[in-house]
Amino acid sequence: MSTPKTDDPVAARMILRYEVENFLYREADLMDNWLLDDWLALWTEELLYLVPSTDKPEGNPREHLMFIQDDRFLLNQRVRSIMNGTAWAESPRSTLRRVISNVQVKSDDNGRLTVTSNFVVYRSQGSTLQVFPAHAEYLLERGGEANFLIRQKRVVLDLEELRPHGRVAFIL
Amino acid sequence: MDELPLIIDDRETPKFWVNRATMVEPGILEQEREKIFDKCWLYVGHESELQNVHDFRTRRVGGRPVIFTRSSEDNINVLVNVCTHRGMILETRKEGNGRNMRCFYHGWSFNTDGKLTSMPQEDDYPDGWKKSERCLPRPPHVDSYRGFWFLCWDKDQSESLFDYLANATDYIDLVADQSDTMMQIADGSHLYSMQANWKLLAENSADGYHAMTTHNRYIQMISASGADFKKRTGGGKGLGGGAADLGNGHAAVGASDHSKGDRPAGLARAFHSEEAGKDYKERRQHLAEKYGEEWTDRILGGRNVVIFPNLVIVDLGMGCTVRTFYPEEPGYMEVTSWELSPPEITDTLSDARKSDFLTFWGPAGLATPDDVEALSRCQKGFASYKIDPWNDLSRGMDKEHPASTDELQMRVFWRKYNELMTGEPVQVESGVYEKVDMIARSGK
Repeated sequence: MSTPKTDDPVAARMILRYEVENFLYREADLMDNWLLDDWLALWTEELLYLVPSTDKPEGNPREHLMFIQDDRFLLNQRVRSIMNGTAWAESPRSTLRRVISNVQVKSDDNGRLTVTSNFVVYRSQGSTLQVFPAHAEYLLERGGEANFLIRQKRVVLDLEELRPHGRVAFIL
Repeated sequence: MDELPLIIDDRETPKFWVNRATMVEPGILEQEREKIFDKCWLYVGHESELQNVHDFRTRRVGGRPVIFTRSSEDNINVLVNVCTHRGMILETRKEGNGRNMRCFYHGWSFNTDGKLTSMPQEDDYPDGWKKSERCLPRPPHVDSYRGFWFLCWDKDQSESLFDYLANATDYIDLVADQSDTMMQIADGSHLYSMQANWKLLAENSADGYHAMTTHNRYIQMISASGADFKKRTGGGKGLGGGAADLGNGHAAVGASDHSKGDRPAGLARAFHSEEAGKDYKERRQHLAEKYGEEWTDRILGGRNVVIFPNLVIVDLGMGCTVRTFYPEEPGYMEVTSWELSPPEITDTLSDARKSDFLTFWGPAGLATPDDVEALSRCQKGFASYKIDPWNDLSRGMDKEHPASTDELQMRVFWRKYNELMTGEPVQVESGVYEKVDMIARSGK
């Protein structure tokens, strides 16, 4: 898809946000539909996927206990285990639907973008419905089939405890 | 409940069965609160969580709100977190630092020793009314062992913490000995839950038998990282090592690591760098100089320890979790898990350790979510408990030395449980652990 050109800075920002939103919607579709090998292709080779603990939402891996601090190897393994059915916590897979909002391009350093969004994932399994409110911060680069690649993604759950949810075994 | 016993402990066949009614009936949970959680020593927290004077943590222990704090005299205190005036929860923050805690209802203030220090319009109280009689109450018994603090709500408890812990002290030593100063709880905790009876997690926390199946994906990850899982864990014999009855309902499974290797035994992912391997070897050497080879092999081997009723210390070389859990309902427990590390290890080792910790024990890792799922599916299965009331924990009952993939460790838990609930005394089976004396530990 070609991007329209403009000299108007306001229009340029609108176009950029439109592109970023398209990318985030594409990512959400892949996650909700368990097309996780395609989802993995949205990332740069070197990557960092972070989810801090609910009691340290500002946490970082060096100083705090996190929920997830995956590098490329661990993220590959995470996806592989979900796809091959050995992630019992998502086998059978649950039904997921996420809604994304408040997308903002915070900075643009020669095509390296910092993007934030809010989202909610609804997870249904059997008679149980769980709701995971969260916000995310991405470091994106230009490239790939979907216009951008994810270098880093940090998801902060807007929960003070992982209760009564108990665990996260799908991709946030 | 029905007329069936809580356990069938048949030494003839032999077989060991547990009544699933204990997992589902509300009347049982009421009895557990009275006969177990109100009687036993319970874990409060680790001393390293309170680094500075006036640091505090609030938490619930055995269903009651407490403040775990370090006073101006540098004493560790456990105070009941309830204002003595009208019974409101006093400190509402989860953690912090402060000389005084003030109840917002009428403004009564207490210090970190629990003394009532001030309130508005103090002059209006009658002569003879004393502030000193309205200090924050304390649990009847509070004591610690090597940085691990416990309380007991039973004023008639005559057993000291040390005696209560019995031979579990050796296993706490194997963890505490890893630091020259004091082991350190990482900043942050995993606050999660399971739709399952609390006793299922006591079973699961030292269950070597489930590792290869439930945690198959974690083991796939280890192998994919280039670590030789089988070689370092005793080949096809599960996780290797044996089970031990530590007395008083406490039990452990564990193994020694005789490999003298350059990375942790057991469930560690291969190190990213040679530097990490070098740091690990240096650390091993330091421990061996301090404690001798045998105790060092044990320290670095790993262990899953269940301290009755609900403290779990799982130290598998690549990381160590301290975990406690309480029933809110028969089919729902809340779990709190912390990471424990020697603070002196290099950043390289610490990074690897944190990553392995999350990936195994984290509620969003590659193992714990599958335990959460397994236990909740057991709980769902217990809906049929009146058709088949029995769980089977007979593995290794005919062995002199049961393995970590047997079920001695669960039987030890359940026998103590049965004793407290019914008054029938525990009949010891096998695998009784003997403490290692200090001289043998030094390797001299």
